Amino acid sequence: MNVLECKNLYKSYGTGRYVLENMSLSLPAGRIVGLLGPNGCGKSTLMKTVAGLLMPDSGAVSVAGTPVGEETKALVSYLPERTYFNSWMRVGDLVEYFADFYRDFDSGKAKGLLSDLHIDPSDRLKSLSKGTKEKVQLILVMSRRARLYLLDEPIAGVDPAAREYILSTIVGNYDPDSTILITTHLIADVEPVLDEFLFMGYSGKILRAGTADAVREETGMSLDALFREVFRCSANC
Amino acid sequence: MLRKLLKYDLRAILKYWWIAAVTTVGLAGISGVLIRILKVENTRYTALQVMSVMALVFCVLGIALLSVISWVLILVRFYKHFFTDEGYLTFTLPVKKHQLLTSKVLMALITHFITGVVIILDFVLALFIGFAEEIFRAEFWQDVQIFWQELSEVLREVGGGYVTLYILEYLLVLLTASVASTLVIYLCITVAAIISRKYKILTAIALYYGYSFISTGAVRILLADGNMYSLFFRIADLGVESAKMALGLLGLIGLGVYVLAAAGLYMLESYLLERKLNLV
Repeated sequence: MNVLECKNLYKSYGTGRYVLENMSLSLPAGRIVGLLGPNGCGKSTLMKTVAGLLMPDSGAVSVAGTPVGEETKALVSYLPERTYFNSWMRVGDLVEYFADFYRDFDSGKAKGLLSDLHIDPSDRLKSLSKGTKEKVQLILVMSRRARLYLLDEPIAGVDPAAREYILSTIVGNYDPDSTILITTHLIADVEPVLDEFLFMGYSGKILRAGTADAVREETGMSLDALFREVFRCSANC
Repeated sequence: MLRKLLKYDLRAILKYWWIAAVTTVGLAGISGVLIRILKVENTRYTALQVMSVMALVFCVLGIALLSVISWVLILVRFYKHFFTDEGYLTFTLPVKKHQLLTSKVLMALITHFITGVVIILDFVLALFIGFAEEIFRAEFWQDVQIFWQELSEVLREVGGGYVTLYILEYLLVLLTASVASTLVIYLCITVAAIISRKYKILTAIALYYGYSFISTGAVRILLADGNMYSLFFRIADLGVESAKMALGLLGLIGLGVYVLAAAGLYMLESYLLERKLNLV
């Protein structure tokens, strides 16, 4: 059974233009997939739809065979591109919050990862830098034993040294039965950890899919170089 | 899950609310002292007396302000938790949308209740400090006893054997009215978040003013001569028994209207959160 299944998905924001138009996608278990595309092509919209934040205009989305809803929210661990903290909380309060609401949340693992990154659980969230907040958010999301991880720009706001740690955290903490879908513009950084990639053009059109190794064998290019060629001057977007 | 949601909602509110509540207790203490100063008749200190009266007014207003602060905290929590970036976490929690809404309604009711209790206790404290000598005199308690007896007689006269029932009826009216009025404001905020991306708060205020304008007009029509309220007064004029009937009937109609309004608003709000909200 596929972990994620989207069929004939349509989504617009009432502007007359479809952000996702007749999009279909299937992701099996045990993959780290890069969803790569230019700004505004619908990557975040797709993730929000799968996470249950947006209602599609039409089409079907299911996670592990269950249509998106309350049940699938327990299976999906979503990292949005923005920080979503309650500013009045401390880091430790957030760990407690996640432990309260997600049965698959591992508090011990979260505390260990926080300690690795020298983040004190007693720190107030409003006193943390943007990068540190993003690290905390990623730690919380990756400390769940979810079936599907949706990571929207997980390394965009952190320093290069922390990126390496975060990527190793992502790879090291995911279950073989799970699938991770990552969107990012820092393709060169994530390329080594990706099993597969999807190039997404405007309106959610999948322009190319495959593995990074196959790209290198067929074209002699890295994924980053291929992305630049495919989306050059937005001719194919 | 509802219990957990409510726990965090109340924690978010009480974190700031208790500071305001403790401040009002302090103001109540000051008010009591000011009452004692005002009781001293001394024409040599007129300026002090005037200042005491002004300070007392400010203290009483400060205590009453607690209910405004509570409303602000409730609405800020509702808005931030649903319609700002926090919504990304709120709406990805494995809970039903109606549980999220129920938690917000319960949070508002509990906050209103504890606010009411604190305000009453504040005034009791102010009076207790201000009139300590009078309160500790036996005559005071005799007066209280007489007042209570007279009040009971009036209630018996008005309510017959159904005083408890009437009180329960009007408490239910108060509860449902409170739920409905909270949901109206929540609905204005939700509709504003759906139709406006940039000016959500201003749009919510405009929607609430629009609602207030329409509802005030509707109440004026109801109160106009020949309409519902005057009909009740005419029934009440027919005699004591008719007055009792009118009172009970008025409460029942009020209860029915508020229950229907609260149920309709709750369903509409749930539908909007479930189907129409796009967090972009």
